[in-house]
Amino acid sequence: MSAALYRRRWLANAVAIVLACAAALFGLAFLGWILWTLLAKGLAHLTPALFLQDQPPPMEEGGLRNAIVGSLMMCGMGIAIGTPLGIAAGTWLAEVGNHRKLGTVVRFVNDILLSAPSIVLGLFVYAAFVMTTGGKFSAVAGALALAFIVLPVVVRTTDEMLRLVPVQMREAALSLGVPQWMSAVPLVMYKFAGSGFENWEQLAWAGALLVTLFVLAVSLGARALLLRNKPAHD
Amino acid sequence: MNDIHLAVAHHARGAVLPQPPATKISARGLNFWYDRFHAVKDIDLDVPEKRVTALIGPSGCGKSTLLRVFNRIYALYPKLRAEGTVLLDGEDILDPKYPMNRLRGKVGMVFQKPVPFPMTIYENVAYGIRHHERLGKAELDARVEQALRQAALWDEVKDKLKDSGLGLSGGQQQRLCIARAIALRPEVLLLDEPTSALDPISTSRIEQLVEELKRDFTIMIVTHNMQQAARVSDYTAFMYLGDLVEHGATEQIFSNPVRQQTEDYITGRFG
Amino acid sequence: MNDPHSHIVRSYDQEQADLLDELIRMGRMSAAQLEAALDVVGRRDDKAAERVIANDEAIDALEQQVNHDVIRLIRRGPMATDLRIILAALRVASDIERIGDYAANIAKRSMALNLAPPLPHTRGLDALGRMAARQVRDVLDAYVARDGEAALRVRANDAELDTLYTGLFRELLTYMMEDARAITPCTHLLFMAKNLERIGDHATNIAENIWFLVHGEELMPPRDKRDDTNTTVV
Repeated sequence: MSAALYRRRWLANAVAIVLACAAALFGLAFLGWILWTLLAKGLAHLTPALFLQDQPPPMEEGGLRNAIVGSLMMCGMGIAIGTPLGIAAGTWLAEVGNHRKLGTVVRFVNDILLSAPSIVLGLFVYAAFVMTTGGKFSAVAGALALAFIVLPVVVRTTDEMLRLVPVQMREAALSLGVPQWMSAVPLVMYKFAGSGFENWEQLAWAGALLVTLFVLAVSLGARALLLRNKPAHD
Repeated sequence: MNDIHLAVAHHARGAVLPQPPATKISARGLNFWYDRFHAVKDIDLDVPEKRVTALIGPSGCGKSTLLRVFNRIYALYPKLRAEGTVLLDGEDILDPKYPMNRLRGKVGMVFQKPVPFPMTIYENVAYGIRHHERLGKAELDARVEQALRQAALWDEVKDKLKDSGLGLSGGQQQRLCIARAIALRPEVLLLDEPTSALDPISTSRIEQLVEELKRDFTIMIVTHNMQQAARVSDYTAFMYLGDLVEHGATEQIFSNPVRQQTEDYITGRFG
Repeated sequence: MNDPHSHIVRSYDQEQADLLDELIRMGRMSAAQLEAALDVVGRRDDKAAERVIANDEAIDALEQQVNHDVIRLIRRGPMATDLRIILAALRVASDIERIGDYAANIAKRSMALNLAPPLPHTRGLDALGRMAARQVRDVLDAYVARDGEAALRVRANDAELDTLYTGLFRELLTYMMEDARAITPCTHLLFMAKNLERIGDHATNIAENIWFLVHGEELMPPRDKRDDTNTTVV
């Protein structure tokens, strides 16, 4: 190719790289700022008491033990409810719903649920469950809300990961007599638990799933705190 | 001993033909549709027991489709359907009442691209067995070893059974897939272009394997390599655009076929 | 554009055509050699005989060429008709080369024959020779035309050739018994007659190969042989 063309392309490439790095740095700068503030202001308060004492009334010394325990309980329950359902639904979508109209509908509804703001889901649980059972907040209510939030993520991820299994491998499993619903699932599990990752795309999905669940747990823990501190309605 | 050679030799001397082998699979009036596309048209075919039957034909003639009817793997996809009867040992496998489990235990398949599971070599072979039978560890070990020996792979992997199946070479992977299929002790083996992705030496190894395996299994092999079909098979069926143009003993098909179309295809005159 | 019955790889057809050409040339040369040898016997011309003997080299060279070309064609993995074409070509080349050799032998023996006074039996030999030459030309035509029926006729006609040969054999034996001085030339004549009979056999071989070419391993209809010289007693 001609020297001028080559030079122009090289220049465009360089400009793009510079802009991309600048954008990345911009984002990282804010993250860094948050992290710095968090550490600067909070490190001093990171004492064992944080984990050993319950939340005190305002203006007194105490810890966050009950909040932590409560969050863990709710997250645990929420994930315990949402994950199996999600995996089941995701498997159905990938194996059966893949070829049917119903599958398209389910996927669509799932995507809506996925992008619904968590506060909406919280309000839904509040109205449908809390209000109708006496108006008292509980870990179960919180867990339900969390389950609704976890569910579409798991469904989506399961669906995608199962569909990533190459069709020849699925057919191979099928021809060995493995029932259809099982033909892809163990292969997916093995893919990650086994030796080495086939390609980085799948690693990214795994990472995304983990990070999502982690962030969920943390943020929902925070929201759970807020919910608990809201005065009860009547 | 190849009774086909005997048959041709006897025939040339005008003697009576020896007893032909029993029929393992018998397809009658078999039709197959990909949604609205009529891929396999009204086929009658007998597959003899413990012999190698080759399916040849140009791309898109329906040979792979036909093969995949014999273990109903098309059931994985919704818009595919088959009509007609396919008798395996006298029972119609296209009948919805025929138990899939039994079919999968009787008919094994090896695909064109070697697809070992992302597990250890041992697990690859044991996977299918575990789904059908409950075996103790010693028994399972023995079965895995037997399958690997039959697939002529044991000597190469016996020290690395715990290594990933994906670490093997292409030819070894394909033999692993064969071991995986024969670990279930099926009666019929369907091979869908098993060597088209392999180098010549691996191909020869697999052809040697097929010759050994046909003592115990009925084998059907789809291949677009005519020399391979001529080398390996006892019977050959030539398909074109979904029709079964001609089928018979390989010796006859490759030295003096009846139909001009067959002759044109195998001599490379097909446009 | 290719006609639908030519090979997709055009050089394949070209090589087969070249092979056929070589065989036709060989065949014509052998037939011409035979006719020339018969002429030479009639004219008692030693110089001409030497020329015939020298020409045999060309036929041998062509046979080498045919062998080479057959090997090249075999590498293409021929099937069905192609395989029969090549096998037949190999065998036919061998038969034609032998015919050429016998013709040269006849020319050679004619030089020994010329040392003795002329014999009436050379006329009988000539008749035998012309018939053999006719067979050779006919069978070559049948080969070019791939005519199985014509090949059968050549094969059937060999019976007549054999009868002629047997007759000549008897005549020569009778003559030798009558006149001891004729033994030497008659012995030469016997050998030459035998050569001609062998030429007839080779022509029959070619006919059988033509049948193989056209019909595969199907058997030819039965025929009778009339060479009774092994039981001829005078």
